[in-house]
Amino acid sequence: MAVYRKSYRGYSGKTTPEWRRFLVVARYAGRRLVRSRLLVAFVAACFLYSIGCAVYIYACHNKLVLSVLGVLGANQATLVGSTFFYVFLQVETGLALILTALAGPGLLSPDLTDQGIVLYLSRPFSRAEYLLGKWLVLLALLSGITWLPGLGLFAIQSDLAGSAWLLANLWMLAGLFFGSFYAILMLSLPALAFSAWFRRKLVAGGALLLLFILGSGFGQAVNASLRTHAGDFLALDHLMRIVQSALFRRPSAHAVSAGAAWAELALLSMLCLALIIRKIRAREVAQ
Amino acid sequence: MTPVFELSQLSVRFGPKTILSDLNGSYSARATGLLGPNGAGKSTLINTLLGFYQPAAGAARVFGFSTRAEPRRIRSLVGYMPEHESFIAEMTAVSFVRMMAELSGLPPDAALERAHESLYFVGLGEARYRALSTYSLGMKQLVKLAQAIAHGPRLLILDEPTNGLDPPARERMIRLIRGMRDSQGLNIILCSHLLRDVEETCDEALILKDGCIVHHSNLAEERKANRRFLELETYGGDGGFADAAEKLGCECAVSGPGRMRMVLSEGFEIRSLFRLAAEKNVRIRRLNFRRDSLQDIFLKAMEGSDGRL
Repeated sequence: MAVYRKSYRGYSGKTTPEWRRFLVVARYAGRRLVRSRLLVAFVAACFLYSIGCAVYIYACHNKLVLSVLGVLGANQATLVGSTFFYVFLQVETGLALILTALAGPGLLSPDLTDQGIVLYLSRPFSRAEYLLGKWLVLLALLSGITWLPGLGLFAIQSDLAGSAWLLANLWMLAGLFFGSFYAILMLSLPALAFSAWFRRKLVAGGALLLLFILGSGFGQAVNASLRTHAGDFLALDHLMRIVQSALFRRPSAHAVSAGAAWAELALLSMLCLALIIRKIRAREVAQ
Repeated sequence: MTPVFELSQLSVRFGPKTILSDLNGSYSARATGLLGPNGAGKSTLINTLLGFYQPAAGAARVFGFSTRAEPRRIRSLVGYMPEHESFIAEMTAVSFVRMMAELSGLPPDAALERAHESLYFVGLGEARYRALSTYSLGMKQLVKLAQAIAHGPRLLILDEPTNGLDPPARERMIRLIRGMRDSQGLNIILCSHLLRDVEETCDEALILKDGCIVHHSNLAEERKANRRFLELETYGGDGGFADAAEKLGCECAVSGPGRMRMVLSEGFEIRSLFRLAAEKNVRIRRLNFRRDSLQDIFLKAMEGSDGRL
């Protein structure tokens, strides 16, 4: 069916493998996101902190800088160790929350506002693939500012400190990866759920921020008024801190165990998926 | 030849409510029209064929593939144009249609090429780089059609394609559908409550009422039969026109002064009728082939057992 031909003709060329189709959704969703200058500027700003950390690691191994600062001979382990990477992850998790609030709301709502979702699902394409494609965008964005730069910093530190440090601190890689993954799930799934339920991006983004800010405040109020620790389950940021503390072998001030925090993540994920699936439907006829 | 779709004792229920009840049949027409009043089950049947609804009983097959077991296979062969607005407002038409073609399995380059071609085909070539949010209702209908054909389906399912279109836009849509119907390798299921749409585009009509098939007719045969029924209005002459026409092999029934209905014999040419009128000094003021057959069929199908609609 060439442009100059005004009659219909079928397609007989090759087709892509079915398992790869979810990447189409991810590609188009990602392309839509990068059109937002605010988002691109924020992602770039997020890298500044990682670059600052890299400079710090370099400085910690530079005798001239250390002597200027008057800390020459200080214990390297205290300068760049589990605390350093824990704090790095904490800061990046905070940035990830803002990034999710900026990027998440625009993922599902445009497809649901004008029933575009019906056209996705009338193709050889499932709801799970659709969701996976959309989630992949958030996974890539959030990975880009959490565990991936963390891994880079770890590599720089290993290179400068030597193989002995690397072998002694290899466990921190798991902390970086699983701590980031916990935060990514904790942020991305509610973001997708809000994106499915609120058509306006601003409302969905605001709701995500409120979930974390009000949830934390409400959790503390519950703890104070009822003299329990049950409120910690409402404070999602506390849960992330609990899991990340445990992964970096740090003492936790919270009574909730890391296992319970993972269990809450599982529950929250199921709730979010149920909320999303309620909205992602191919049917357009009211039952 | 594999039928386009087959229904075997198909029933679909939503909770306690039965929407489609015991539908049967095998349909192989190039273009099949689904007719019926609102709530008859037309859209539910389409959604069932696409695998969105699971049959409560029985089965449906499209090109021999079960809607229950192989919905993905079916959807890869089908292009679907839904009834309601379905688009992504912030996308341009070309990227929207391209994405939909890619989701159907076309590689990115082929999808882009087909997106341009489809948009040109439906008449949106000049507007293809505009955001869909700026499109009029008629243009949105055309984009829905473009995305449905971009991947070159074997079956095109059109749900109320002329909804909300003004007469010229409707005419254009009907012309496009007819053009696709006449092309090779594409079957069409057109769901509409507008008899004219079905009459002008389809070879067969399936009439649904309260979730049941109440009539299935071959419109091509009906049309052929209708070519033999004439309604005439004449003026002048001495009244022997009807008798003379009968001698030529037509059956005539006079329904009023100068008005008559005729059934033409096989191979009879209209030219002979005009020649006869000239001989008998009769002026033919109106000559109509019977056109309201589908309406007759529909109304008959909609009648209750007591004869009421």
